[in-house]
Amino acid sequence: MTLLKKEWKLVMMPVPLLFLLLSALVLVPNYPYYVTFFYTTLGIFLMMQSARENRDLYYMALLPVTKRDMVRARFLLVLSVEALQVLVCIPFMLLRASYGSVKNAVGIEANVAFLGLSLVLLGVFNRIFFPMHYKNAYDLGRPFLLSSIALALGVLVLETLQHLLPYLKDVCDSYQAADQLRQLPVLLGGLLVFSLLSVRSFTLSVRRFEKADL
Amino acid sequence: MTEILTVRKLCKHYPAFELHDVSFSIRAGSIMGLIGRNGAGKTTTIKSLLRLVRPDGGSVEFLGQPVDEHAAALRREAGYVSGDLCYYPRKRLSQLTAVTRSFYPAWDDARYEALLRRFSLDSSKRVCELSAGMKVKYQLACALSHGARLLILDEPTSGLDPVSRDDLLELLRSLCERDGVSVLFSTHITSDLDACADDVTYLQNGTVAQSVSLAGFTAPWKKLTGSEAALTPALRSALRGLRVHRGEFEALYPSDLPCPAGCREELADLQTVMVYLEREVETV
Repeated sequence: MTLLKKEWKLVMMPVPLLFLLLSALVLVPNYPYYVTFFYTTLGIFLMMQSARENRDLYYMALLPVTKRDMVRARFLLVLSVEALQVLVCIPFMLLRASYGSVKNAVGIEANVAFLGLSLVLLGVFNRIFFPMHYKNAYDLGRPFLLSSIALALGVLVLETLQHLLPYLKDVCDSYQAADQLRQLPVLLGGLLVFSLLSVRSFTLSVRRFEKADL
Repeated sequence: MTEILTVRKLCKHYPAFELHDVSFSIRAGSIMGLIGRNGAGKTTTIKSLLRLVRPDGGSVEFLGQPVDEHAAALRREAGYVSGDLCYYPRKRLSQLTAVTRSFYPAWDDARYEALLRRFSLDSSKRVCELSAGMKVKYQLACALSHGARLLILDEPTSGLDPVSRDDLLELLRSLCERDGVSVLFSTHITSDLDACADDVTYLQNGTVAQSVSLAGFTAPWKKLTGSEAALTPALRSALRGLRVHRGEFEALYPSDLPCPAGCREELADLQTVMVYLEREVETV
């Protein structure tokens, strides 16, 4: 808790919190809703950049914590921001569902499956961005560029599968309550993939950071 | 006196620099000066102690425990004070302290407040609004408030005025004598160490040239000056760091030898010994 408190008090900045409100993008009738979670990753990138410029690493390195704790602190902050983004999305999704039969012409509907698949995308971001950054605990540009490319490819793949796989096409592109219940496995699967990718990202980041000289 | 910190054969290899077999120890309640010219390895040594860099070899024991396994414990019991407080320049001291104190179970609020008053620090100020001296004092206040038993000071007096420097040195002396705090004091202002150090570790090109008491470092030498004409081959061979300028020479000379005829001798302080020994390295 002390680590998380420290991160929220010193590292957190207004921009990622404002980006949470971009969950309202799901209210736009025709919009690639996955973009919402790109803004989450952009907010995380800006937060990491601010922490680096404020030399948070040196502050942390002098506290009675291990290098593992330092990585854990950052992951706790990032995971809490990602969880908040998902949570803030939900009321806007409910509002969007009240539009009735207006279909999103440019991508998946903002529904339960969308949340599950967005978690997969966030997991991919975590898996690529953090281990690359913690190689020297300094680089941010290249890790963000590569993880953003992966995210864009992920969106492309998911939107393509949406048209190819009957389950995704018929069940997962719907606002109907009955369909949304049938989408629950996607949400749970997304949560599982997100967790596995994030845990792997954490262990790799710790291993690399242990070897890094500050 | 027991040893609070023991460094054995510490090694760190960089492409252009190597810290090689650095060994020294700090006794409880003593001040150890860490000296050496720029690039001698002082900062790498300190970073290795704090595990900010990963040493390639050697060991560090703090209070008898290997630091490799107890790095967090070292930082709990030690305080690092740099000549420049380089993090979170826009945060107020009160904001930083509120976070910092939560990491230390032994944090003493009353002592912190007393130290702020002693150092005339205003906790509502932002880090960037502090002078270099105030930044040092703030770090010192934090280190002493969590009950640090070892202070690691990296160029703490560089930005201080003479009165503040004297105040800081007096504080360090009283902490050592009264509270048994130990200090590793890395500085280029060697006169500060003349005033307060018990021992000195002298680094040259990444290795320990000497790690002895302050008297053991300076007492074997005196500074000898005289006419170039007095430089006999025998005298030359006894001198260290010889420089000849406009017919006059100056060098270090063993203090147990009698002053040669026509020469003048004076006591050598820490800076004199270090500078002349470095001169010798340059000319080799």
